[in-house]
Formats: sequence, C-alpha cells, structure tokens
Amino acid sequence: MITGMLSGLVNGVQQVVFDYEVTGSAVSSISTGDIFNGDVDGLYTIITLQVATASSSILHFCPNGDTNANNYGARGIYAGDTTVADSSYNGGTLAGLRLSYADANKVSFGVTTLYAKAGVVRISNGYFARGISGTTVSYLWVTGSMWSNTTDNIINGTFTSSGTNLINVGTRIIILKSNHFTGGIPTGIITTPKIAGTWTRVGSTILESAASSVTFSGLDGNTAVCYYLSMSFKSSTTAAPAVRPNNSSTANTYGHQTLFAQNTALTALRGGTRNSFLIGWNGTYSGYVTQADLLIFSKTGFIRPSIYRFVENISGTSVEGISLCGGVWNNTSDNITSIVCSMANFAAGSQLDLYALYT
Amino acid sequence: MQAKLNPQYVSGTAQGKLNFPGFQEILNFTSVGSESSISVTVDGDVDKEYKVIVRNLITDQHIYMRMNADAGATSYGYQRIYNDGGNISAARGTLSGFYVNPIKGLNEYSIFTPTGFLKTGFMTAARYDSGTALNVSYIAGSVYNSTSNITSLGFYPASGNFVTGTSIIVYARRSNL
Repeated sequence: MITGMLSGLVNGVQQVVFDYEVTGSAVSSISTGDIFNGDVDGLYTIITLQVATASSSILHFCPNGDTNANNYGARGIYAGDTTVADSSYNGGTLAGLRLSYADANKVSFGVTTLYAKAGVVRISNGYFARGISGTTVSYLWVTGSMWSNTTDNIINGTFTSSGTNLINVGTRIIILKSNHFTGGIPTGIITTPKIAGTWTRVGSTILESAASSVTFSGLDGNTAVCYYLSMSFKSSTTAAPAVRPNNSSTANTYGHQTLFAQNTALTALRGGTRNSFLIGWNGTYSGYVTQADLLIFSKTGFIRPSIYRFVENISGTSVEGISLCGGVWNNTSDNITSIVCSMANFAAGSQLDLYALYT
Repeated sequence: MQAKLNPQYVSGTAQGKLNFPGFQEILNFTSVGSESSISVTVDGDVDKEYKVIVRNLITDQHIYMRMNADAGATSYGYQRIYNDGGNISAARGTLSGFYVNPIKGLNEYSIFTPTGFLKTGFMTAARYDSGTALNVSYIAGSVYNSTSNITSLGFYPASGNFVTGTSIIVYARRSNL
C-alpha cells in the first residue's frame, strides 16, 4: 500500500494556488498577489463560498485588478422559485467577472472556469446558488462573463464586491490552476495516492451486479473542504438516486432550487422538505443512462451548500432531460465522514466516483 | 517546487507517466491555423471519464467533438437550455457530434464513457458577440449513441481549419493505485 502525499506543482493536473477564508471582520476586497501567468496557465477554476453583509452583494473577480465596469459583460439564466429569466449585462454595470451574488448573512456557493490566455476577450463560465438559508435556496444562476481586455497577461486578481466591507466572515475562495511547465524532456513514472491541492479520487465503484446503495466512507469533510461526486448509472426500475452526507435522512433538512428542461419545456422549482439530495432520475427501461454530478462544500460551521446537475433518461440519441440545481444540507455541525448514494436499483455497470479537494 | 515529470499524452505519444487517482491532462492543443482536425487517442473503457475545455476562436463555425471519428449525421443527441440575446429556450435534437460553440466561445464538457453504456456529456458554454456583450449562455446534455469502447476523441471544425489560438484541453480520469 502506497501512502503519503506528493507536494509541489505537478504538470498535467489542476492544483490549488490560492485558498483564502475571511476571518475576523468583513472586507471590501481580496487580492491574490502575483500568482498567475495566464498566458501559460490557461485554465483556472474558482470555487466560491460567499457570505455577504448586505443583500444583493455581487462577488467579482477582477483580472489584474481591473475594476472598470466598462470592460465587463455577462449573460446568464437564473431560476428563482418557479421563475426562469435572463440575467445579462453589457458594459457599465459589473465591475468584474461575475462569480456570485449573496444576501445578508446568507450563503452563496458557486464554481467558475476562466480561460485566461490573451489574444481575445477572456471568458468565464459558472454556476452559483444564491441566498441559501436553512433549507431555502433562493436562486440558481448559470452565467457566462467576459473581460474585454485582449492583450494583458493575467498575473494577479482582486475579488471585490459591490460596496464597502460586503465580503463577510466565512467567505472562502479557492483557485485551482492548470499546470503547464516547459523545459526538459519529461520521462519516468511517479506513483502517488495524493497530490496536494488537487482533486483526488477517494472512492470508486463500478458495480459488477445490481445494488441499492453505494457508500463512500472514511471521509473527513473538514480536511477535504469540498467533495465532488460523479455518477453514470442505469436502473431496472424508475428511480432517483438519493445522496446523503453521513446517510442523514431527516425530513426537511435538504433544500434545492432546480432549473430543468425536457424538450422545449423549461421549468424551475424550489423546495425545502426533502430528506436527501435527489440527483438524477432513470425511467423504467433498463437501457436508459443518466449522468450526474454534485459539488458540495463540506467544512463544518456553515450549512453545506452544493451544486448538482444531471442529464437523465438517455436512450439512443434521445436525451430526455437536463437539470441544474443549487442544493443545501441544513446541517452546520456534523463532520461529513461518509456519503451514501441510495436507489432502488443501481444496475450492473453503474459507475460512482468520489473526489476530495485537499487544500 | 516543480516536480520532474509530465503526464501529458499528445496524440497517443507518452511523455512520462503519473500514477495518480485523479484527472490528468492528456491533450493540450493550441492551433496555428493550419489544422483541419485534432484527435487524442484514449481508452474509454479504462478512463471512464473526461473533462474537455475548448476555446473556439473560429468566428462563424462551430466545432464538432466526435468519438471514434464517427461523423454520422444523427449519431449524437442533445437536450439544451439556451439564453440567446435574452431569449431563453430549451430544445432537443440530433447532430453529427457534440457541439462546441464558435465566436471565442468557452466550452466545457464532462464526458462519461462507462463500459457497455451509452457515452454521455454535460456541457457549459458562453459565446462572445462584440464589445462587452456575450450573446449566448448555454448548458446541454449530450449523448453519443454507441456502447462501443471509445478509442479517440476528435475535434473537427464544421468547415475549414481551426483559427490560430483555438485551444483544446482534455483531462482523463486516471488509474487507481
């Protein structure tokens, strides 16, 4: 058995280069320092847990500290309860790439991907769940953003909000960068179970026979900070997988805001009475496939926000539905030591993987 | 610290290996404008899952991502949610590949290739218009109607060549120890 952790930056993986939590008192901005080389790195992933001191506080990322609102635009879709609407701005409104919105002392959770190489405008894609309190997820956003600067290499960044000291205690920002080193002829093999600052697979199951649940145990949500669950499954019965931290099945402790499309029908819905995250759905035909994943912030001290998405009931070339959801497990205190995925029937061949982000 | 290894594979050419239970880059392609396609050799039955990021700089042409070079006109299906200039809609249809948006679009796919299953993907994208306007924000689910092992992931402009600077990155889920 190989143990230990490889530290240092490693080519070919995405790795944490910035991890900041606001402590003590609220702040107006957070600077990364000169940690980027966007023309070389190319790709960044930004995970944000935003807590605000006032309502409608936007969290921006400003490449090279550029806060000129004339240089940014965004297009997005938001779902709030049963409403689906446009959320878009051309220049003059957003003073940075839009990462999330938050409301006073509520949590927002999101993930954004930025492609940083110069030569053209820089574009980011992201999702975030906004206004999470108790089992209520007030809104869900899909957003693309752009920075009109085409020439400057991105060497640093500033996180800002839409006013003074709006970034509240508990806000956490994690940035992973794509490593591309040059020079030398790479050879050899290194085997390691863990690389510091990367997504590491901590559990993997490919079912040889049907099962009604898969458990990932031995977790430590306070060490890992975030978990990412990915699934591709079939089922012999109509079923939806229930995903539960610590197998907690207490009613009225899970909430969601969902955006869902089935052919041309577009639906939004909100709920706060579930006893699990419901991730995907599979119809009665056993040949159907559903793909699903879930990102959850696992550290104690806050309710546990998540983003999950699924493409469901796929047969032939027919994709029956697509869903994007903001979710919450209304538990602030219990360390996540297991994640249990339950369904009446996961068919043989179903694949479930769990990754942990060690920062 | 920079570790002395590089787990990149470009067009199947190994340049060192990292045994690590995570995602590793297997393709990092930047076009010089003369290529009409690029592909990477894979073993979908082993890898099971891929992350694909494409910044497509072709102004008026999308790119198709195809598995096993299958260009069948109706081999791929999709279900999308789409904001085009403020008009939000949903649609389902078929194509000859997984769709990659044009016009400086940033596209991300999570792709599953489990043995014996249909091959599926979830896509997120934004597409640039002009000035400070993004004209499209987009999510989609996709399927390749095949249960065969995937041995290549290929990228094909709808016509002509890639535009210089178009970037494609592929990460593969790699081995358990």
